[in-house]
Amino acid sequence: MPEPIVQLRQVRKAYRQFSLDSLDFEMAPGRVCGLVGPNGAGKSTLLRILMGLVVHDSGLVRVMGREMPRDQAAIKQAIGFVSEDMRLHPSRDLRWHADLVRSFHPGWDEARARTLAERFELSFGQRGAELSRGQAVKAALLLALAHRPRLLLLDEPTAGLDPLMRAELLDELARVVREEGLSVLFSSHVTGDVETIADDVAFLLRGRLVESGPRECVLAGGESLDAAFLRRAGREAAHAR
Amino acid sequence: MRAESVLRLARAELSLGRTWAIVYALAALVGAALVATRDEDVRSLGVSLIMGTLIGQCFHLPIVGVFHDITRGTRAFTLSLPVTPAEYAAGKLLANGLLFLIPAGAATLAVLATPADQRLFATPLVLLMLLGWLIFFFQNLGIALVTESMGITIVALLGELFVVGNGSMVLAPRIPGMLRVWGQLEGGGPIRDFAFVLMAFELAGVIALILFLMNRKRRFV
Repeated sequence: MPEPIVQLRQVRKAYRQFSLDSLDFEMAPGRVCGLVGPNGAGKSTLLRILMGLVVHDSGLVRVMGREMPRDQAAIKQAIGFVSEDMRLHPSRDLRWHADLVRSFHPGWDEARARTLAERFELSFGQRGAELSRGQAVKAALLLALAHRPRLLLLDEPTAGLDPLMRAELLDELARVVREEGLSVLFSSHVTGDVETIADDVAFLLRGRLVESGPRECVLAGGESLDAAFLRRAGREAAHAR
Repeated sequence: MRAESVLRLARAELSLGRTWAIVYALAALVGAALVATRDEDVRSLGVSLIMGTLIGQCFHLPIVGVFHDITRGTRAFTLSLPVTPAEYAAGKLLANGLLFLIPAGAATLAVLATPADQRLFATPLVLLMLLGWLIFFFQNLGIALVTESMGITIVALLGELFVVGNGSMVLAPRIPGMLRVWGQLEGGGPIRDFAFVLMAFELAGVIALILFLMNRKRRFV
């Protein structure tokens, strides 16, 4: 069995009003895993821990066999990260950002960047301030993919996008994943997004991982993701009572 | 910490702040030119322009370099690069220190380039002042980086300006022995040498403390 690309053991992170509670999670390489849960379930916190943007209080976090946050500079060499609250510098163009990312990533593939720019209908001369929300997500995705990462972490990439733009972005994402065999861990509270591209599904509820596994196992008997999640959430609520 | 990562981050930060650095440098140079004149009123105008420029930078650089970076979501982009929080902080300190030093250094050089008989202060005292401004600037940039609170940073800045700036100017002449200290700072002596060493250590200590605290931070979003 291949070594998990992401591995969390008994990970805890407490805030004043919320905590991730003894989280155990593994993700196999080459899979697309969708983290599903309502707002405040801990999806973003989990992804931020994997990026070293938040440091966990206890437990073990390993990404590609290395420990986070201790080895974060080396780990982030092989990660592409896009989050809903990430923006490009408004006064600088996409070329400036691409040059900055390229200076940190020896694996930067300029031809790939140009292909993605064409596919995403972006121009390298566009400044951060000139990008719409959807274009900004695509630009961030371009920068994350052009250095050919092994793992793509996406935190609510489709949040705030209209349905057309969301479908377009998911199509592009699915195509890239198919072409490159990337491992992708992405969060969304829109279950339709997860159903579109995920191989595996993980349900997070109030900081706890309540179920995870291959999509076909989690969605038994042709159940929809929404129904499966509500069923699981209901069971958790009954258990808590 | 890897020096090349820090330099890359600092270069990007310098590129973002270059327009305002030029504006502040021009203002500081105009101030220095006014200080070099023989008219007392014009000289005091020049001093207030230089002070205003440096104080303006102490507000402007933390607001743009730290708070805008956080609220506009550009810090998340920078931290998605293969860098550590300490490298990120070191890049900020290096770039913003240079951005501050451009007008402060320009004003200092312009003041030092004026004929000795037209200078307001002796050369070592001007250099001591520059060192003092750097400490003041890095303290505030550090408070901004570590607390991520614009309120705390501005209150700290205003407090320091009031206590160290205005307060000490009013109180110092009333403290016995301060005239002798001031005389040595201007004319030379062991107190001035000690002040140089003390301030150099303080500057290094402030920078080391900022990096230490940034390394211990547990949240960057």
